Amino acid sequence: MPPKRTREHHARQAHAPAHTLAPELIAKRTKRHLDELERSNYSEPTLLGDDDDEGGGRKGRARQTISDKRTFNIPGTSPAAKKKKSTMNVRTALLYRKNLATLIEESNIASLPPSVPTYFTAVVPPSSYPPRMLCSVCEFWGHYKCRRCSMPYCDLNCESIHSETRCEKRVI
Amino acid sequence: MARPRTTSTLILDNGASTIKTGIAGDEQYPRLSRLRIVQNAVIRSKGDKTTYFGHEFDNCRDYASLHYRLPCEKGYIVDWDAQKAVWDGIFSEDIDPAQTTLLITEPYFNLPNIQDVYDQFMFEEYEFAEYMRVTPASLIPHGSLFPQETECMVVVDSGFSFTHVVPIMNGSIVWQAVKRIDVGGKLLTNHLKELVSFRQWNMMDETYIMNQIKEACCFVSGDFAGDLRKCRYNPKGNSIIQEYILPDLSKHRKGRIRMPDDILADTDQILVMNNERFCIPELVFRPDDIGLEQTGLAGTIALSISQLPSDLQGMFWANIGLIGGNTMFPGFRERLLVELQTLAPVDCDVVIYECEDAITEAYRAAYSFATSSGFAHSTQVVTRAEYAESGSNASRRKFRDWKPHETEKEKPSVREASKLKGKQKEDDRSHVTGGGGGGGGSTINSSRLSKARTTRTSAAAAGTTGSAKRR
Repeated sequence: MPPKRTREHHARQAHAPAHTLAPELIAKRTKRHLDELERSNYSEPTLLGDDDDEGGGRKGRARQTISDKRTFNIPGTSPAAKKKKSTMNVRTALLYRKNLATLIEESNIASLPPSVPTYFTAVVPPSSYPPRMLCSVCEFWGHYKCRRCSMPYCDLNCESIHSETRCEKRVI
Repeated sequence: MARPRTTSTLILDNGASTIKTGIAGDEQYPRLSRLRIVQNAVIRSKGDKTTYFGHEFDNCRDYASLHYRLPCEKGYIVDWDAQKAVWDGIFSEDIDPAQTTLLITEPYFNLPNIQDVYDQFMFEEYEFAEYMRVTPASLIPHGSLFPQETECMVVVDSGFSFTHVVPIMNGSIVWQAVKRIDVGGKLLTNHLKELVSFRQWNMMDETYIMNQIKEACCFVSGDFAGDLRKCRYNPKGNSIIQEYILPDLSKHRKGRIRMPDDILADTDQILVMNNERFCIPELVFRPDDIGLEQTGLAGTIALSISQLPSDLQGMFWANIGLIGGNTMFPGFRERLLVELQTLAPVDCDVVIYECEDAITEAYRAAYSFATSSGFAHSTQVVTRAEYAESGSNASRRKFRDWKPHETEKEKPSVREASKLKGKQKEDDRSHVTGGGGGGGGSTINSSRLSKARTTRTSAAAAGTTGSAKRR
């Protein structure tokens, strides 16, 4: 029947997203953006994603600590005053820098019983309100989404700016 | 155990962005009794071609393109080398550690293996006579943030790395209800850098300058939709727009906001701050604006209070305090008050207290704590002798924090006998010492690790009794 067919046809069109991204890719992109926001120093993002700056370890794990190069005077006879050699624990802590993810794993707090509050349980749950979409170019309300990369925009000017500069034609 | 006599107390409010430090209680070092704020970073300046450690940063002349090496990652100390370099600079000003008590702050939910390294540094490297490690919120009851004595309070600590909502009852933190939002000053500055770099000048390297701009220009809007409309429909002449004149480093002129009667030289570069002024601090209240799936600050406070005993919740709503540099945006308190009033029960008043200088409030509370008689006789301070005898277990026993606490009555030798019972203390011990060796106590605990694994089935019941005991 013609009416039925058009209704089905329209329904199918409404349900067929033309080129939008899968939610996992959007989530991955958001996570990458948030990690970038946590970095101390900016460096050009590479395809593989850069680690945080290595500092003294850049020259192939040289066993030098920057704190040795300073001159200061602390009274007394503690190792810090350079009268004695530092203990093993302290030297290990100074030379082998671990990042936070490693430390969290080592501390085993994930395996504590659920009644114990830890770093993980303290995180606040997602909001009960839906997120508001703000235009990625000018920060006004973004009522429309880019067809290729699902970033919100507010009007045609911002859409043209977005597709010329930042649209991720090939989302990694 | 008798405490050694020390001449003075050194206070270190060890933040991720700045360290607030001073000496309490002795006039022998009058120069340092006053508060010093030291950058907690090792900063390399390409213009000056020097590296500044901590307090030396005051001598820096060229603020462009600074490379920061921060000891803290997400608020926890991971780079001990850089942290030691900064601490050496602070301690080197004629402090004799062997005669000094140290009061140092740590972040909330500090990891046990990191805490062990704190102990190692303080006792083995610097050889302080005794020290005490606390969280900033636990010092607040000693300070003057709340004008009257109150037993129930909620402290909102919004700093460089994250924001915590910390309820305090009878002077101790209710750890089950502490909540964390991963939005802090660092995230806001980096987000501002991104927005400005996309729209105007490329400022991705200029952390210091963008931080200045953020602190000078940004505010929290009470009416987000209305302000957005204002900025949109009148892009040049609205009441919100501000022009910031970027600092001129060749002439050593600082950056400033342009006043109406400022005459611009030709070489001045202008940064226009329009809706960035209020969209940036908005992230504290709506982290999902950038896709971070966490509740905003008002919702978090409501969630945290709802996990407290219901008959006391009214008192908690009426005693909310703000500390931390990130709360110093103009309009922060008013916006939070409006949002909380929609979430609080109808019969509860919502009262928010703030102080004149939120960055140093924890330090000032620490100062009044350190000079009080309670500190001088406190049993929570760990001395060098105790550390030499039982290693990091001494600090685990004495410092109250989120880990389940064993009772004070238990002596070290009794721990061997309690092996057979398989109670919750074993479970906690083995987990807590799982990572990183520390002092002398590790040999006892590692032999009990295997025992603890077999008794894991009883751990669930034991865990709940453990927390019940703690109440």
